[in-house]
Amino acid sequence: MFSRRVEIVVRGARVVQPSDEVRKLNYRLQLYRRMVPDGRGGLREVVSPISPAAFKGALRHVACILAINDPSLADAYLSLFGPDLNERCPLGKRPAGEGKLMVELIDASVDGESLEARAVERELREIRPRVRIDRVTGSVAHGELVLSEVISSRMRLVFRLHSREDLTSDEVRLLEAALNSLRGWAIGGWAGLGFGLVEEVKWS
Amino acid sequence: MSLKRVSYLEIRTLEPLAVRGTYGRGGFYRSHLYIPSSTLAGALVSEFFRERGSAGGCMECLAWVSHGFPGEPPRLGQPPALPLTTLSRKDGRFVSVAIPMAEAMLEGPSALEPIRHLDPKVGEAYVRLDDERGLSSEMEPPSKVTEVHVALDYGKRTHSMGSSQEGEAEAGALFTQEVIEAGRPFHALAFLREELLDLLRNGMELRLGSMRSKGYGLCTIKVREEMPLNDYIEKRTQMLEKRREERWLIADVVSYLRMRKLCLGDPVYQKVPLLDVKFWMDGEFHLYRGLAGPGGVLVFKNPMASGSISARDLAEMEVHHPSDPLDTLHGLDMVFFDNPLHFSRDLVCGR
Repeated sequence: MFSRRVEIVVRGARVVQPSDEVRKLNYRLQLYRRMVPDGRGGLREVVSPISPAAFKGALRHVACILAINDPSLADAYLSLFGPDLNERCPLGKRPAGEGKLMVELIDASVDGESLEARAVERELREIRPRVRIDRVTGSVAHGELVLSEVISSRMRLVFRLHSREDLTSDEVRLLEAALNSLRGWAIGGWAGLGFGLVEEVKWS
Repeated sequence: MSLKRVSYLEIRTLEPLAVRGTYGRGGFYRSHLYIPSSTLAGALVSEFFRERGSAGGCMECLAWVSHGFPGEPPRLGQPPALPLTTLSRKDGRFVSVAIPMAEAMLEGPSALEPIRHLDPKVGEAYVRLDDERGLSSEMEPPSKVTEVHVALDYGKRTHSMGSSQEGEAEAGALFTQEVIEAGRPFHALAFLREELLDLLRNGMELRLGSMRSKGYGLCTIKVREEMPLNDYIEKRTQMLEKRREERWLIADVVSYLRMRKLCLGDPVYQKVPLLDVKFWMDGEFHLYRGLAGPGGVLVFKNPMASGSISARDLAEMEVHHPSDPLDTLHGLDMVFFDNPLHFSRDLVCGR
């Protein structure tokens, strides 16, 4: 059995999906919600604009790069994250199966206060524009204005990485290297503009 | 029968639940408003074998479980909150029109006069009779959220994500998934082996559905009420005995039903959704064609009135699971007779 508590501080987030609204809003934030014990025998809702799936995806991406550069970690990568058969991560193929690493969201907070859906709606959610530049004219391209919901506040997110099986020493080595390398990485979209930048990573 | 205990299970989602129901064009996976029986039973049995430290196999008959329907569990002996196909509505009242429709089949359209003013457009409503108030209540259905994800594992998804020479993703990598939001209660009628029930008595956490390693599917499951199978049969026999002189016997489909398994002759009236259902197990698909879906209603001339079948026979039919362990694991052939909702024509919905 393996379990690690990982705390990250990210600046902003843009994990989005196409908007289904009539007005000109192209992308809206994809909020992840789960219930956690409130310490008084009940449950409370935790909301995060960065889901465990997005965090695991970023961790997997970093781990893939590390494993490409250190082939001794290839088996550890496939064992933790499962087969990654697309051509971008040439670590070979193995029979399909779930990786053993599981990720859960424990908490999400801004300025020390747990994120709640209402706070995100009223105070944190912003709409930012972006436009494509026409390379020929040097001016804005016609019809290329995009409006997207984002969060630009600094958030503290706590995830639990765990596995039902014990991890090998190589798997622990890869996981810790990936967590170390996550600082400076970005989770979600508009990473080039600074959204989702991981500023701090701590684990126990 | 090895499934000697009957129970109502209480299930509560702690994380969003992604269970794929139907697949739509454009990579859109729809979710049901209930938790499929195969998902529940599969998770329970997998956990049982994991606790036992052995691989196990579907040849061991451990569980026969209904779908997980929205809402808190009722008392044992009462039906779960089913999405009955014969519901109609007027001014907030739910009425089952199964009996008037059956009467109309025999006596002509004049039997439909009492229900002409009702609105048949109910949609998918999970309704149950509240014992204490004698009123019907609609269980609040769970909310579904639509999320966009990117597929990476070509072996498990129908999409592929490869890199073109320019390094851009190919089309078809994105897919849309409906998920049931966290914090929702569900209940399921379960016939379990003693060893499996032991695991559940103190409550446990299980992961259901897909994307379990990425923050989806965590639920708590515990036993709300249980009793030995023979006691349950006795209780149901007494309840069905009270309807011995009724003109009609009404069967509700609780999970999925192969119509030929219900040996009561031809129904006078039926309204059942017919489904082709695909189950994934042990690396292959199992396809069942032409199943009657949950909430389907079949109305028969009451065989108890003619003496051809007894109340105890019906009670035993309700608890008789399929002989094939795989069919049992998938929750097939579970029915409930004489749901009180069908016999109460003046119901007020407490929304």
